[in-house]
Amino acid sequence: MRGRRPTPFGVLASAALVGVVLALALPLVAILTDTAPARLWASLRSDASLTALGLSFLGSGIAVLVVVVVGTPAAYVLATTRFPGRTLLGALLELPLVLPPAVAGIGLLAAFGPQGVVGGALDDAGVRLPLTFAAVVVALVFVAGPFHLRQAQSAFGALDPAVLDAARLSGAGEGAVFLRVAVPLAAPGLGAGATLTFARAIGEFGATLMFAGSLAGVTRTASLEVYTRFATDFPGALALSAVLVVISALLLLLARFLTARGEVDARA
Amino acid sequence: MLDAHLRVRRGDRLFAADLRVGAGEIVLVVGPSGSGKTSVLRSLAGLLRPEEGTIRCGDEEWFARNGRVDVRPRDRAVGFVAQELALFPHLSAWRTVAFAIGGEGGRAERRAEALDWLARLGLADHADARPGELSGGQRQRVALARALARRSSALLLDEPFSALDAEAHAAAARVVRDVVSERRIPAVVVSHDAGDAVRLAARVSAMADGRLGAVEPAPS
Amino acid sequence: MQAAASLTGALTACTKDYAPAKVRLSFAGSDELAAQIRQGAGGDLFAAANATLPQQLAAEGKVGRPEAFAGNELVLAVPAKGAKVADLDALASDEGARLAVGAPSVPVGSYTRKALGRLPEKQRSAILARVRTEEPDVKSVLAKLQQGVVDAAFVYRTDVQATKGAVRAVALPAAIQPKVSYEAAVVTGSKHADAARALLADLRTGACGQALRSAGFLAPGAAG
Repeated sequence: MRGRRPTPFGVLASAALVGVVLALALPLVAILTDTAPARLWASLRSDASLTALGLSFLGSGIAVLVVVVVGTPAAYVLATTRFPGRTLLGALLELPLVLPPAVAGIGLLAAFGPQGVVGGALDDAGVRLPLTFAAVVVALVFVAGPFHLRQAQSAFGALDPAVLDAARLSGAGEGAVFLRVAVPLAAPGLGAGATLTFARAIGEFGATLMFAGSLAGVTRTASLEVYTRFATDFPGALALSAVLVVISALLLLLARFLTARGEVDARA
Repeated sequence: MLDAHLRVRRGDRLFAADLRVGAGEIVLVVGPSGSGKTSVLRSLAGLLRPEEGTIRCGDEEWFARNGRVDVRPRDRAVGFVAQELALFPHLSAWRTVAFAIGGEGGRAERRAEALDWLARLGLADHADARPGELSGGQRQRVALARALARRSSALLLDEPFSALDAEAHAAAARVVRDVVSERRIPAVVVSHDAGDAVRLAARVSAMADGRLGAVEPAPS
Repeated sequence: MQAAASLTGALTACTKDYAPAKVRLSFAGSDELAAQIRQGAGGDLFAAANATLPQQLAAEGKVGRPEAFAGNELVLAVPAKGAKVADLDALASDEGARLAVGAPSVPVGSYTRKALGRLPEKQRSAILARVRTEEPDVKSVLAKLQQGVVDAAFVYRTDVQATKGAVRAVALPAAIQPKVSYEAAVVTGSKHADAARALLADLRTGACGQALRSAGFLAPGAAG
């Protein structure tokens, strides 16, 4: 029996995969190998790094909380009911995923800035959102929220409608159908969505800078700190970048794991 | 007393049903597959919206005036078994049954009652199993237990015994019969097995040419 | 050419018609450009918004000898209409005033700190307490002011001029005005070193020099 020769397409596709891996992985590997462990440790122990990382985690955590609490029921409605304009609305809600961060920042300023639609009213009420920590959270919710909305919609969309009907016929109100049946069954997908949202929020930069500014201890998150140090303290920027790479990689792995579990559950 | 006159459309087919089921009575709906039995049953449960007609159960109007009265499935309070079962994949057998028992009473009482239903259907040893860990016949009996446990004003069962062996089939039919006569509620059972008429002491109504024929009131 | 963000307007205009060579421009904060050059991602000519960065790079051997090609003036910028603060004193005394400055690592930020450092301690710390954001380049400092997000900002006079009347410049007292000198240098290892040197000369005295002057930049060495 003769072994099978690889086909020309197989060879080309494998070469493409190698190219993709090199192009994507090289800068990341370089960040990690360029960072001496001692240097990394020293940089991490610096107050500025810790403060920035703390702000990133706190801001992203609050943003994820807001997104999960508000976005999950919204995604459920989008996924399980039919109404006119539903497709359009779904696309609109995903728009921040593909918008350049600068556009997101301008949009937030146009809405919540002192001359903005909502911001003007807020200003009259004595609340100024831009350049505050709350503005960081708003920017993160806006930019990262669609990741959860998207994952949650597909998780709810994959549920068997007959199971939801069975819950209604067993006496459950719509709230109980959502909380006791839909959410537990969609849990892996929801977890993946929340994780992706968190990962995106940790990496957010452009919209935060434009809307919330950059002030140490108030609005300067880890990604802004990297940018601030880029010029004066490249090794420090590198060390903080390495931390962000590791955190992001772990979060993406977790999201992958949860998505895979969701698919297994859906098949069961 | 369940009293229904309705037309329901599925794609390009129109089904009509004219059905009266007395309190404590079981009507067995038979007919070839694709004859519309399931569509009629789902209309009664409120899962399908009839084109026209009326559905009444006891003193309540469930569907009337071309849909201006259309009570939600939940509020019709029927015990329902779907052909595809539609069990909750994340809940064990006893929790599935307890789900239908609902709010009144504490958790311990609900659990005891759920275990009782499972025992009556021969599933006492499987109370903690999830649907994925059960055989087809066991799953069907969990679905039946869930339907019976609901405080219901009618039972609507779509092929509730199809995956059961002879012994379990007879036992499950006996439980259904007992529940109907205990509660004095109407029941509609869809089955391809004419022997269920005897097992359930049911009146047979045949579905043919898209029509579930005029059913005479049962002689009491 | 890698040029400081504050040069954007003037250089874009004059290099478009620059005859001797085709000029490709890359604008960013001077510090960011310097970091790129340190990492070996340099172009041919580095035009910074200060003198220290080119001199540091020259000391490291990354660029040739820097030459001054323009000067500028640091000002306090406020909205032309409805300004909340009128001058440094008002800024120091109004606790609700919001101020945007450049990060210490960018020239506009270091000039700002240099100028404030010449103020009496009390006034300096009062003004620093008004800082709500430290921006990575002068354009985003100005953007925060134009969006109405802050009430005042420290930027260059040329940036104010570029807003065409939307923003008003409040001159700083001569005693605290830092010497804002723009220096440029040919990047070491440039493949187009001769063309880069010619362009540097043009920046000083040629068409680009004139464009810089008409955009409000001061002649090299003329800064206060």
